[in-house]
Amino acid sequence: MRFFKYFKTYKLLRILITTFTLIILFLISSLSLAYAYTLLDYKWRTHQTGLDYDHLSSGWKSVVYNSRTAWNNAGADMEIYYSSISQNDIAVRYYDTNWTGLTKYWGYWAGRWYFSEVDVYLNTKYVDPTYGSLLPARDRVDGQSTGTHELGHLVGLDHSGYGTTMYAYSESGTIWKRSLHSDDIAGVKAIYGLK
Amino acid sequence: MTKKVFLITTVSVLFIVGSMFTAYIIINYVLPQEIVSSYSWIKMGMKDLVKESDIIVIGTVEKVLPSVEEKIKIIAEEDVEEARKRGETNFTIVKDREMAEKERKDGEINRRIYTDKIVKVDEHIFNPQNKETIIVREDGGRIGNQIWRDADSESLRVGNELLMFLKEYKGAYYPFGGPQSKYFIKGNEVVNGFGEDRQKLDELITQIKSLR
Repeated sequence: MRFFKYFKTYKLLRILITTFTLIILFLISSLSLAYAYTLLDYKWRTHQTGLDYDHLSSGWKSVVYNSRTAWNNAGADMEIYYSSISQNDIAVRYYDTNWTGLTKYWGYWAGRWYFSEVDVYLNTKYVDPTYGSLLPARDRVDGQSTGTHELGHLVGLDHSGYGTTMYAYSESGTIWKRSLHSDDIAGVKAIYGLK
Repeated sequence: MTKKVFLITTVSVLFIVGSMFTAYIIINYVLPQEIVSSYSWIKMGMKDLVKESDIIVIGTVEKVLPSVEEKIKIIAEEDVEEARKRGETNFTIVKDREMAEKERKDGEINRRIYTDKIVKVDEHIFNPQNKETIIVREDGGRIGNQIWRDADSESLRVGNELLMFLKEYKGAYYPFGGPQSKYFIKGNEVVNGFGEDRQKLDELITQIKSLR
């Protein structure tokens, strides 16, 4: 009660408390806008690109289909479509290394960097063709999660923090990377704008 | 058509074709072309890094050798035995000949560039070798106007001092966990290639020795 009495009486206290409250509100609103996504220097100039995965087995085709669908449904003005004549390829092979997926990209300069070709590699040493209701074993890495992550690079996103699809490490036995985090969605929207 | 018009047309066509050819040569063979790789890694704790290493060393990069381009050969399962009889070992195996043919059609996906770095060994932390220098092989490098680089991690440069977890393959050593297996030394502090896991060098060495 004494506080309210002082508040009414002293103008300086009123100004100080109001300013402090405004600063706190500003910081909170800034935090909610400050996404952690990181962008590559590259994007697709035409806001769309083909991807050739005709040569993959049916299980892997479904993995890639589900992965590209996640990005196509993110609400950004960007589409990954299937094309058997696209230069963008996916290789599913056994590599005796400790990476699960690799995206390699080429570009050209036209006022900014644009992609000209992107190739994706999925490593069957760790990754299985699991998608939809098919879940990975505890010691294996989920195909759809890895595919969705690598196609995130294909649209122009770099690695991001834990909990996002663009998190740099792969976790065995989990599928949380299949679903785009609000941070991933904000990233792809920042590159291409809204659909 | 008068002689003058013919001349002007011919010169114009030659000029346009010449310009296009020059532009093609400049874009493809003169201007640097950047090829970037983004890897997703299996997260490796210190225990995994120590367990999987053939050697663990502290060293200084003395020299970077010219980059090498390698074609990845695609072979169908049914042809593997034949290839091994021919003495071939460096290939990727796919299910059948039809798939091998399809996967061969894209030249870019089947090539890689790597670069060997000569590293002077300052201290052997695990599995001492009688070598003062070792070759550390990393993906990426430069051939002609093509620059291949890793999006996440700096490749080793002359003068870099590191603690590295390495695996041997055909006489060269690989930082098998990518940026996770390269700890850059700055004073008495170390930080891995991702810029993570910053700690004191002495503490890291003690931790490694306790895990062996």
